[in-house]
Amino acid sequence: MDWHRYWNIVIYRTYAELKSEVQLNYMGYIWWLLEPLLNTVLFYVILVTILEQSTTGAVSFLLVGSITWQWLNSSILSAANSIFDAGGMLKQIYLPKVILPLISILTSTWKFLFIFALLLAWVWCTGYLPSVTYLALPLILLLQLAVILAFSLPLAAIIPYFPDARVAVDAILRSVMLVSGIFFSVDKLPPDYHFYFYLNPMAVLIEAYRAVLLDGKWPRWDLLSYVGIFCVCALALTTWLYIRVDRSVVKAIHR
Amino acid sequence: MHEALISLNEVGVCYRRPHGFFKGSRSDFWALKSVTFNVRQGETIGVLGRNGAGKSTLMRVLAGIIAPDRGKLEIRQGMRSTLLSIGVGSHSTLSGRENAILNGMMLGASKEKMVQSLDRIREFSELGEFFDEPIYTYSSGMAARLGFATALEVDPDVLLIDEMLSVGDSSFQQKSAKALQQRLKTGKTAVLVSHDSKVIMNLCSRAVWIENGISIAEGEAEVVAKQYEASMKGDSPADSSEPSV
Repeated sequence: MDWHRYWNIVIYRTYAELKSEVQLNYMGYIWWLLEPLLNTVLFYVILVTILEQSTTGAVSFLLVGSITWQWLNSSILSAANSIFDAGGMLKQIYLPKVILPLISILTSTWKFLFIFALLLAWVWCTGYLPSVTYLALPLILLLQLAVILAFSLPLAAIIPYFPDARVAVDAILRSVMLVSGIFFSVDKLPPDYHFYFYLNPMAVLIEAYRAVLLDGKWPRWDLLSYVGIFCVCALALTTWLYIRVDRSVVKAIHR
Repeated sequence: MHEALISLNEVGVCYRRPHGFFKGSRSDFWALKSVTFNVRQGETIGVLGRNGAGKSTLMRVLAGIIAPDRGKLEIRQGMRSTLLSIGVGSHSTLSGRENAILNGMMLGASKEKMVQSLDRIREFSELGEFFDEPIYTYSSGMAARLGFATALEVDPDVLLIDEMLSVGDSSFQQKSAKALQQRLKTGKTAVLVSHDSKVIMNLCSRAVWIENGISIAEGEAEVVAKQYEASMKGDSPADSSEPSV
């Protein structure tokens, strides 16, 4: 069956992407770590030296936020352009278009898992030992993957029609990053704003990661259910979108 | 009569030209207006037409890359038609061997089939030791040879060829043209696009002539090619002002 072949293509190309990144850059895997680390350093400086907040647990708090954000950020940025960038190839062979963003997402997910393992090691070393609430961790990770798919896939399908959106994606991600609770927790906000804060699925997920990894608590199931329902709806719409554009999107790519 | 694997009935394809936000209404461009013909099992059918006639768009329709905007396209269930393309989607850091597998899968073959074909690809492409080196170390001729050898192994139900390919140095060109011609003569179903009527007469049993996105003649290759030649001599190609898309 063709789906088996398409899956093999996804795996093979993901492997090729990872291999070329490591081979073409001298520092290889180190680069994957650098961005979340730089973000952490930046926020740490702002929080501790400028805003003069307490330093206990600040590094772990920031690392959990920036590393999980980084997974979403790099996935969306690379997946959003994936169909547009593959225009030349897609004019020569038929591929289900969803394959291209999936390759980008799988590539950045693999890098994330590598960094996430280091993050776990870090929090254990700094005294946050695993508790029974770690059982919720696979679910939170899966939910974040669903959120990544729910945003990346529609963008990848739309950008060939509106190439200008590429610029907007970057700008929007930067703004959303500031309100996702990477460098503050929700109780710093006035209660009136909590509802709006939690509309952002990433804010919910980052808080859930911290509950499990740093506080040994269960995540808030009501909020996670909201994220789950959001993803199911978004992915249903995405399926419809991909069926619609599968054999016509190539015509929109002029390059 | 052989069965039709692909049948096109008044097929049209429309491109929406890019237009800026402030540049007013969009303009539609019909690259194919009305194309009608069948591709029958075991035949090599030629598609003749000058530059900009819509041949490349037609190939994309036949390959299933774009769906027609009007008319009817029927492709027999479970049948795979693939445009013979060289090195599509190859990855410079992968070895020739890995790229052959990846390329083959992109062109429609299964991974298992490509793994079995590796020895033949290695031999045909004359890469020797380089077969296991990353392809960024290749010359463009070597990459083209690998691409051709791989494409030749894929063996789709309907082979689509956009102009006879010539890759590599002259000896490889002869070898690859010969391999392809052999493929066409042994009952492979194929569609061969060319602006050159001699190529069509040599290799095809039947032919279609496309002019400005309309199929204006279909029949025995020799007859259609003669008509096409006569028209090329008769009038200047001034009316083919539409760009090729």
